[in-house]
This record gives sequence, structure tokens and C-alpha cells, in this order.
Amino acid sequence: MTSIQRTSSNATTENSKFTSLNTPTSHPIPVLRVEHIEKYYGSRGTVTKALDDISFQVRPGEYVSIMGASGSGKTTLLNCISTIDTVSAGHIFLDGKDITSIDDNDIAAFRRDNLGFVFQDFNLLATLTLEENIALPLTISGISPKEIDDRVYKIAEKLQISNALQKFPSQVSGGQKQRCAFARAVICDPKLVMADEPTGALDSHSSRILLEIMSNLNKDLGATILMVTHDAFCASYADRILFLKDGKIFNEIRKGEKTRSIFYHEILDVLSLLGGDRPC
Amino acid sequence: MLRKLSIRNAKRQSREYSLYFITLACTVSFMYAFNTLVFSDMLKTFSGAEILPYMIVAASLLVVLVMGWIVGYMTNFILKKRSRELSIYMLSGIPNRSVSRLVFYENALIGAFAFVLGLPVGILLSQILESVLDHMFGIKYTFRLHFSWNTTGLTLLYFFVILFHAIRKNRRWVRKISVHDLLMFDRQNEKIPVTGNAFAAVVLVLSVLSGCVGIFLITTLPLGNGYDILMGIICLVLFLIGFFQSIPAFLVTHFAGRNEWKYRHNRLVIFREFTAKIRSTSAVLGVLSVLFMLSLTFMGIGTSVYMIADQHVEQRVFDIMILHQSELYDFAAYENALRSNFPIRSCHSYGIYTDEKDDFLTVRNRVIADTGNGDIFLYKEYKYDTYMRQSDYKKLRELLGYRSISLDPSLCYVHCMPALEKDFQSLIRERADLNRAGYSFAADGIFCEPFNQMETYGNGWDYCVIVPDKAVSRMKVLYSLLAVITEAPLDSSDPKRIMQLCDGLVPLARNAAVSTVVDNIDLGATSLLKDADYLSGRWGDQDNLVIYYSMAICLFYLALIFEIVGSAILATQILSDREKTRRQAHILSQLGMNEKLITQLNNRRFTLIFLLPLLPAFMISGSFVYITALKMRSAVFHFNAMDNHLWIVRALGISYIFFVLLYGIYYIAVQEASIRRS
Repeated sequence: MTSIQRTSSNATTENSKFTSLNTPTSHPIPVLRVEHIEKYYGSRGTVTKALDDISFQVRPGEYVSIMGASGSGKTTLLNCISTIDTVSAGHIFLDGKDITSIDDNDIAAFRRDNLGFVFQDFNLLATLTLEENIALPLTISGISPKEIDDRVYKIAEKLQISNALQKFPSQVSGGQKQRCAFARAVICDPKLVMADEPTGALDSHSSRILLEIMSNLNKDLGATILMVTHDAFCASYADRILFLKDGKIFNEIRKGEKTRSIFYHEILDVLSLLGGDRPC
Repeated sequence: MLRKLSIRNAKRQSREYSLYFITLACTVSFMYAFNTLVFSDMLKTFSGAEILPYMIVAASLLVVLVMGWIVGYMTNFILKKRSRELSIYMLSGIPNRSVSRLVFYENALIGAFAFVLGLPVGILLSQILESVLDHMFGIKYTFRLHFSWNTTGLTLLYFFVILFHAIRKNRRWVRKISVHDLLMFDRQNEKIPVTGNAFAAVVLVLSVLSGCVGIFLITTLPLGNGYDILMGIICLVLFLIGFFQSIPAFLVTHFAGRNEWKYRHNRLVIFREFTAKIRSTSAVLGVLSVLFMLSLTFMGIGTSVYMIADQHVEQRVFDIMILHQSELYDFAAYENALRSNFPIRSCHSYGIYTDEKDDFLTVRNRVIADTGNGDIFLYKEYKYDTYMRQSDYKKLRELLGYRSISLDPSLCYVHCMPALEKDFQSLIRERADLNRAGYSFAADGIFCEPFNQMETYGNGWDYCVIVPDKAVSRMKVLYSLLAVITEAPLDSSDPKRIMQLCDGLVPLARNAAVSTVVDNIDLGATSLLKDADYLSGRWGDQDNLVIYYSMAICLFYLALIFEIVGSAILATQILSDREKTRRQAHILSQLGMNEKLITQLNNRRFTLIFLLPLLPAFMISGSFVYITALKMRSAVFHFNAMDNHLWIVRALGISYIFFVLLYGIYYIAVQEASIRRS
């Protein structure tokens, strides 16, 4: 009961209809604007509604986490925002551009210039060294080798993997792999970094290091991060959390001036309210 | 239940590894097609063709040996790729013995499918092969679809041995394997980092040196015994092992640090994927290189043999030649018999004369000695220069359709093999007094068109001096000849018919009895001619010709099988990585690489992997073919019938083009399959 009271102070519940689209923000232009998107799967007779009228905004430099039980639509939402999947209805604007109407031929260039990805299973190329994995998006963008070197070494230093740059993914720890994946995601200075369960394959120590680094990068470099996670501890590093349930935004909580510990408990309370998949 | 599952699996395997499955069927087709020659009635009509069935059987046994190993390897490779599926069977409580039986049924079914599919294609191929053979032997081809139980039985036997070996080997493997081992296969394949190594350059240089020494030893035989070949083969094996083991580390050492190079033009992914692939499949690439080397060598040597045989036929410009020795002979009886049975366009009888002068013979012998072709053959009839009358020469040129020339009746001319032209020219220029019966030689009077001179008992041997008609009055008649040109080309079975028509006519078997000069001691000149008239012509000396063609056929057979099998292994290796390739494409797409570029990268990677095993194969086979072709030419022709070495380049070119075309089919198939699956 205590926790629910704590939650209600900063959260908007499903009953009151989530309206973060209209929430006034300190920045006039949100970097990401999701407007009434819907996503259906299946064919005649067996249609599944994966996303149901979802709307929200993300401001530049914001660190937003999306939580929800399995099948709640978290990954579908992330895939739609990252242009990996298409929406059935609604619009997604990234930096003012409607990404639901981007031509197939332009999608690759759009991703290259605007998005960074971090995945649970790292998605590093096994035959490339960490240095080369980080450099890969820059080579695709046609950046000069000298500039690539400079940028790779700078980001590697920030992510504390300078000493492992010449190693292959199979020769380093999971934490180093994920930091490498994060370095690769942010090296092109994307408008939005999307992380799908980034700590899912890591031990607690490595998870903590990664989350600290992500948080620092968010603060120092102003990187905008949208992270999907199951883990309340992981989510507690974010500024704001959106909770999904059955394809809808069920709740939203903000960290504000609270400590991470308090925020963590607040998350747990909302998860209890969600009624399932409560993490330890 | 197990049977149903194995039928379903066999279908899936055939689809999944369709290129390998089709190659298996193609092997059946080729085996059937070539095995038809073992039981061919057509070949039985040729003298000397008895050897071809034995050669085909020997080649087939080699194919069975190689294919047995390769099918075993490929089946095992496919099973390892299915390790997760097999582990699920075992985890579900199916005992190893039953899984092994399942694999047995699957392989047996795939084999049976391949056989049933390959057989009808083989019947069609056998017709193509027969038409090629008919063309070789100058027989008019008529299409007739023929199914032979004998051939089918023999092909089935070979195929059964191949499959039996492979299935037995893999059954044993499945019985012994544990679930843990099966689950580990996936992980093992993932760990393939290639690190730089300064030592790699040394190994690479040493391996290339070893390859050069190997080629040198095998092609020149400096010790002159079997050790040359043994050491040569060891050197080549060391080269292949060293080359494929060191090349990835060498490339990484020299290029991985060059960011200026690797970060441009999307080279990074190709470079790393390529070196990793070589590293993980170095042993297979080595084996493929050997297969391609053998294929290219066999194809090159086969083409050279074919060209030599063709050259043989080409030099025999007259369709029929009948020889009567020692006197000018009236060939009317033969002519009439021929005219009533063959469409004769024109014929001419004439004499070949001799005297006791040997200026040209001396030069000719010196040229032969200079070519290093061993001892000079001596025949009783060719102790001195040979002559022909100008009027006969003109008539023969007319018969052959050569450009008409005006001969000065007061001068002598020479018609010779191209290799002698220069030296004869020098002789005539330097010896102003040179004459025959008082007739001097025309300054530019040497002709070199094919003129039945390459072998004995033609228009001279290698050369003939053309003298004014009056000049032969005091000369001795060596033999007289009837030269015949027919309306339609004769086929190789016609000589037999002619001999049946003309009593007393025997085939002219050249080189059957020669004597040599050893250490300047004349061991006695020998004549082949006995008291008979001899038949030769375009299809004369059939025994040798059949051997040449048989060799060419067997070499092509082996070359084809080795190439398609090697290509199928390579293609299956590449396509089996499709999951990894698809995942990689997905990552690159997320990083902002467009689909077109990803496809281009994959294609470039495939191209490099397809080219790599060809590098050593081209290098080694090129040298082998070149040296072998030269040796064969020296063994067959005491004079180079071909003007220069360009014919070897042509033979190499033809075989390489053929190889690349067939290889290209697999390359395109891999690209298509890769695009379709992604």
C-alpha cells in the first residue's frame, strides 16, 4: 500500500488515460514523438494486436526505459521505432521526420545517421576485433580512417575498453562485449540510442558497470537513450519509465530528484500493480 | 515412425543441400555415360579400341576411391551442421543406435534419389559422348536412345560402393557421439579469430618455394628415377598445407594494421570474413585445391592429347593412300575397286624416287639431333634424299586444293615440315652448287603445307625434293603411291572395308620396326615393307589414334568428376554458413548498410573464396600441362608438327575456359541460393 501511494505521486495510471503526448516539456521539439501507433500481427481470422494506440515523446538527452511483461509489446515498439518493423497505424517522428513514411531505399541511410542499437546478445561480428566492431558504422558512413581512429579511441576510453580493442569478441568478457556494442551504437553520435535488454546476458557486476557508463554518457554527452528492459534495477538508471501492458502504456513514472534506490522501489511497486513478471 | 522421419529428413536435406545432391546425381550421370563406353559396340569395330574399356574402368575406380572419401566427408559435414537436431533426438530418448539407423535411411534415400535422377540424364549424356566419339573417329552420328542393363549395373555397383563407405563411416560416428559433443559443435564453429603472426610470412614464402621445387622435381625429373616424383609430391603437399595455413595470418599481419586500407570501400568486413573462412576451412581448401589442380591438369593434358591426335589426322591430307614398293605401279585395279564403292573425287598415282645424295637428309638429321629428341631413326628406304616429279607435285597440290604455284622446269624445289624450312633455306643459300641431275635449287622454293610427310612412307619423310620430271630418269623408284581424295570424308571404319575389297592390301603400321644409331654405330637400317601393298590415309595408324583419344576421354572423365565434386564441396561449405551470413547481414543492415551493398559484400566474399583454391591449382596445373604437353609432343612427333608453343597455350586456354565455365555455374548457383535464402 505504501508503495502504491509512493507511485501515485508521480505516475499517471491507465484509468486516467495516459497522456504523456501532451505533457509539457522543457524542450520545445522532442527528439522522438510517437503518435497513436498500432501494430497488428497475423492474417485473416487470427489477428493479434501487439501495440494499441501508443503515444509518447522523448526529449533530447532524455534516458527513457520501457518495461513490461513478456508479450506486452516492448520489443515490437522498439522495432517499430528503429524501423526494423512497420506500424499498422499511427506515426513516429524522429527529429521531426515521420519515419513511418520513409522509403525502403532510404531506411539504411536513415538508421546510419540517426539511430544506434544495443542488443542483449551484443550483435558483434565475431571475426572483427572490438576496435573494428566499433569502427564499422563509421566505415559504412565513409568517414576518413584517421577520424575513425580518433573517434574509436576516444569512445573506447570513455567505455573503459581501450586495453581490449585488439581482441576478438570471443576473447573478452560479456561486459566488455556489451560496452563495445554500446560504443558502436554511440560512435556515430545518433539522435537516439536504442537498447534492447542490454544487461540481459551480463552478470550483476558487468551490468552495473555498463549501466553506470550509459548513465554517464547520457549526462556527459547528452545521448538520448530508449531502453527496453525486464530488470527493475536496470530501469532505475533511467529518468523516466513507461510501463506497457497488453500493447498499451499502462503507466509512466519519473525519477525527478529521487535517489535511484527510491526510484527502484517505485518501479517495483508499479510492477506489482502490473501484476506479473515481477523481477527479484 | 523412424522411417517417416527419415523420409521427411531426406527431402529436407535434398532441398537444403541441393547443390551437393545435384552433384551426386551428376556423378551418377557421368559414370553412366562413360560406362557405356565399356560395353560400346561401336568401339569394338575399331582396331586398338579394346584398351578404352580398361582405361574407363581404371578411371572409374579412381573416381570411386575419391568420391567415397568425399561423400563420406560431406555426409559427416552435413551431420555436424545438424548437430543440434541430432542432439534433440537423443535428448528425446531415441537411442544412438536408432539415430544411426535414421541417418542410414536418410543417406540411403538421398543416394537412391540421386541415382534415379542421375540415370536418365546419364542416358542423354551417353548420347552426347557418343556423338563426340563419332566426331573424333569421323563417323556420322545418328541419335538413338539406348538403355543398357550392363552399364546400369556397373554404375549401380560403383555408386553403391561410394555410398556404402560413406554411410558406414557416418553410422559409426553417430553411434559413438554423445549429446554433449553434438551441442559443442555449434560453439566450436563460432570461435575463429585470426590473429597476425610474423612467422606466417616465413611459412608462406617457404611453402611457395616448396611448391616451386615440387613442380621442378616432377616436371624435370633431375634424378631420373621415382624419388623425383615422390619428393615432388611431398613438396607440393607441404606447399598446400603451408599455403592455406599461413595465408590468413599473413594477410592479417600485413593488412589488419593498415587502417587507411581496411577502413575504406567497405573492405573491413570482407577482409575479416575472408581470412576467418580460410582459417576455419584451410584443410578443406587444401583438398579442394588438389582436386581442382588434378581436374585442370587432366583437362589440360586431355586437350593437349586431343590436339596432338588431331594434328596427326590433319597431317594426313589424303583420304586414302596405297603404297606399292620398289617400282612404279599401275594402281588401276585398286582405283576401280575404290571408285565402285566410294565417292572418289580425284586420285593420282606417282612415284617417290631416291638417289645417293643426302644433303637434305644430313640437315634434317642434324635438326632432329638439335631438338634433343633422342636417336635418329633409320629406315632402309630413307638413307638418302627422296624426290618427286614436278608434274606429280603440281597434280597433288591441285588435288588438295592448295594455291597453285608456277614451277620453273629448270629448277628444284623442296616441300618439307615447317620445322625444317629455315635450315633448308640456309642450305640452299649457302650451297650455290647444290643441284640434282644438274638442276639447281630455286632461291625461294620451299613449301610447307601439310603433305603426308610427318611419318614414313608418305611423300618422303619430313621432306621431299621436287625435281624437274626429267631429273628422275636416272633415279631409283623407292615406292609408288596412289593418293585419293573422296567426296565425303571417310570414317575410321572404312580402312577395314577397303582391305576387304582389295586383296593383298595390308594396313601400314608405322614405327613397328625401327633401328637406331647408338654411339655412332649403325645397328642396321630396317625396312617395314614386305611383299605387300600397304594402305594408309586419313584413318591409317588407327591404333595410335584410338589410344590418344581414349586417353583424352578418360582424362576428361576424371577432370569433370573432380571439378564438379570440388565445386559442390565449396558451394556447400559457403551455403552452410547461411545462418551466420544472414545474421551478419542483419547487423550490417541495423548499422545502416543498404541491402544492395550487403549483397555486393557477400558476392565479393564468395568470389574471393571461390578464387582462392584456384590460385595454387592454376599455378601447379599450368606447369604440369605445359611440361607434359611438351614431352608428349616430343614422344609423338620427332619434329614439332606445331609451329610453336602456342598450341599448348591454346590447349591450356581451352581447358581453363571450360573449367571456369563449369565452375561459374556453381558460383552463380551459390550467389542465387544465398540471395534467395537471405
